[in-house]
Amino acid sequence: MTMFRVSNPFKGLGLIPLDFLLIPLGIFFFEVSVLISDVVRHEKEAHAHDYLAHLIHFILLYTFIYLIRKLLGLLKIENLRISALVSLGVFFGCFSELAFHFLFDLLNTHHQRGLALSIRTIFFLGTIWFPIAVIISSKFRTIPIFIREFEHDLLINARIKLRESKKNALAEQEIEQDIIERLRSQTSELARRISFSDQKLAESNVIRIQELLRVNSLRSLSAELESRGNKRTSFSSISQSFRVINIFIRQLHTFIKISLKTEKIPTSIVCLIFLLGIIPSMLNTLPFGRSLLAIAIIAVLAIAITNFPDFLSGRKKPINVRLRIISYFLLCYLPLISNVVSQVIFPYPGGHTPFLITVVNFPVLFAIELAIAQALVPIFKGTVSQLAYVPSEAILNLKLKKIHEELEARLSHQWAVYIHGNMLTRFATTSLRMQQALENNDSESFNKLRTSLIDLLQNPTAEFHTEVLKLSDELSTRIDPWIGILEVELKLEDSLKDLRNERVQDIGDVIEEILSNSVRHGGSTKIEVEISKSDSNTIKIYAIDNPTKTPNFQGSNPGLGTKIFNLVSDGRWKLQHNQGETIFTCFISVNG
Amino acid sequence: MAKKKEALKLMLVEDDEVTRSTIKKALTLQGFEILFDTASVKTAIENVKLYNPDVAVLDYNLGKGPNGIDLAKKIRQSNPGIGIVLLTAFLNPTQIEEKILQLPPGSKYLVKHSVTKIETLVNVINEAARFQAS
Repeated sequence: MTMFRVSNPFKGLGLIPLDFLLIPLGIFFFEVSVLISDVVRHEKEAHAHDYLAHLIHFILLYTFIYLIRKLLGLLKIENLRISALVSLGVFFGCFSELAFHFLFDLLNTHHQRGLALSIRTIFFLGTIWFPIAVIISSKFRTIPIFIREFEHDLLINARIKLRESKKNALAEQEIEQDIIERLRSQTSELARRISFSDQKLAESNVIRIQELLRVNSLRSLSAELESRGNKRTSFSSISQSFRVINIFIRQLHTFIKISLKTEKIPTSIVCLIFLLGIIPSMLNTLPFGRSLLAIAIIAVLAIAITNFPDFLSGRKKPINVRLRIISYFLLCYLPLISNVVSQVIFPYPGGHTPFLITVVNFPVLFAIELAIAQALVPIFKGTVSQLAYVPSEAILNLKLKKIHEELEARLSHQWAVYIHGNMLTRFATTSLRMQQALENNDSESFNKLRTSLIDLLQNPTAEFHTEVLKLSDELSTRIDPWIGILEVELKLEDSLKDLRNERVQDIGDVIEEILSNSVRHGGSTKIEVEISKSDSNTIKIYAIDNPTKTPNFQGSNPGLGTKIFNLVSDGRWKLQHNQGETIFTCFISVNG
Repeated sequence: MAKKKEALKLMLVEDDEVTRSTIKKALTLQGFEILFDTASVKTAIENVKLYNPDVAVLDYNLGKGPNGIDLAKKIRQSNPGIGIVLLTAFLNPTQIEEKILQLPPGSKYLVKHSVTKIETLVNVINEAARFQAS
């Protein structure tokens, strides 16, 4: 039958690393499931003695497994074959059942266990539960490492996606437009008042213009913009935790959705999860022979349901997500259907499973387990890199907010420098030159100054934007001014010298920040900067200097420099301190 | 006006050519000797060793690259006795305080719009020159 195909989940396992990470959690769930099925089996509530027996049993199992781990450690046994692992599981199961019998007798509990039930439980624990728990544990430790790497790549991807988005371009325009409007409102009023002033060269007139040029409001605007660049946002640890959890859940949801479209959970794993969910309660509620028959029938049905999407749509065709979800939904309610049908055809007293379990508990737990499995499949198969790193809306929104802050900081700083470096300097010079014109009774100079001033005020942004240079020239404008303060050795790849696009100024800004940080935060006197292509679309900047003090500008409260690095490199930068040197590495996309 | 016997030798660093020539002209009229004026940090550092001025008048904002404070620190290293006057367009007190803390000891600063009255700049230059004397 080609329709039913169950791959061997243990194929190629070889030596299995002994990792007991998830065993305590597994013991807890095992204990709870035995308690619940005992309660269902005896059709009465458990008494305090029953709970106490299960609590002590849990502690004994935990201690037992701890001692086993220590013993294996002393014997330097780090790996086991599957057969040895099953033997160890059977040994663990025997201890568990002996402990149950001993405790139930000692505490005179309502729950008692017959020999047949104990044998079935030992079989289940040894051959299925224990080996699976160890195998999953051995893989489980790689998950946090994977999540960290995934998160890093994901955030970079979110930044790239946002940088290239129209949303971002609009946001940038809005920020700049807001600054320009505020600047214009200040300067146009000033232009109007100076235009109305007397054109005649007179002391009162010069004093009046000088007074107007003191314009504290423009200085305040410049100061406010400058402080925006250094604004540091912080969140309380509680709100930070909620944000992290919220984002994690949303991203997991997105990841599962993508994984569902690109990766199938192996049929064997789906069936295994399903059977692990129903076998314990079937063993506990039905006689052994009947339970084996029921398990066999339900296993065949589960395999058939799991395979039907492939049967209908063809194995090699793209995954049909809708059919797959229907098959999982049918599996969720298979225990309910099979229990009701079997009770109608072959009624058995006490064989009816409570609806709370078949309608709510099992489907919910099974759905959660399937979702986790769906997320784990690409991780274990190592195919995550083939999946698109699609950021969730939550991450995109969070990053968009962060990118806006960075954009705002960078633009505000540029405009603040322009206002106090160009405009206010021009005002001061004009005031002084008007004073000189007055002293020399030079009406012509006074009128030229007055006209030039009104021109500047009516068009205050005219000198803000500068033309895009080719990369070698842009770097010269950034590096040359430092000569004398910092010895800069630049290595620029030949193929990049003539690069001329919108990223050139970004690269210049990064170099400017590297150099100023090197001097101001590190007290360095020498720096080597290497700019090369790391691939056809990415530029790598590598800088190494000799600081006299340890710079610290990559903390939790980033300053302007960090914001510029994040913005320009999409977060792909790092700073390392090593044997008296500070090494800065940064990657910049040049395709967008 | 500064007295002839007190004629101090100055250097002037300002990136805006019009501003630089205006201040240079005004200070010359006030009796100061301007040893050199430049927009370039490199030239300033080279010349400060050659000319050994009494006071350096520096703009805070020198365009791309180092600012007036970076330059002030460097020239104080090579000429420990030099007086320093920093011209800034800022008016916000907190911004000024932050920057003044980074200046070499004895340095003076002046908000640019005060330069409208050249006597103000003259007084500050004379104060900065006292650092050399002390």
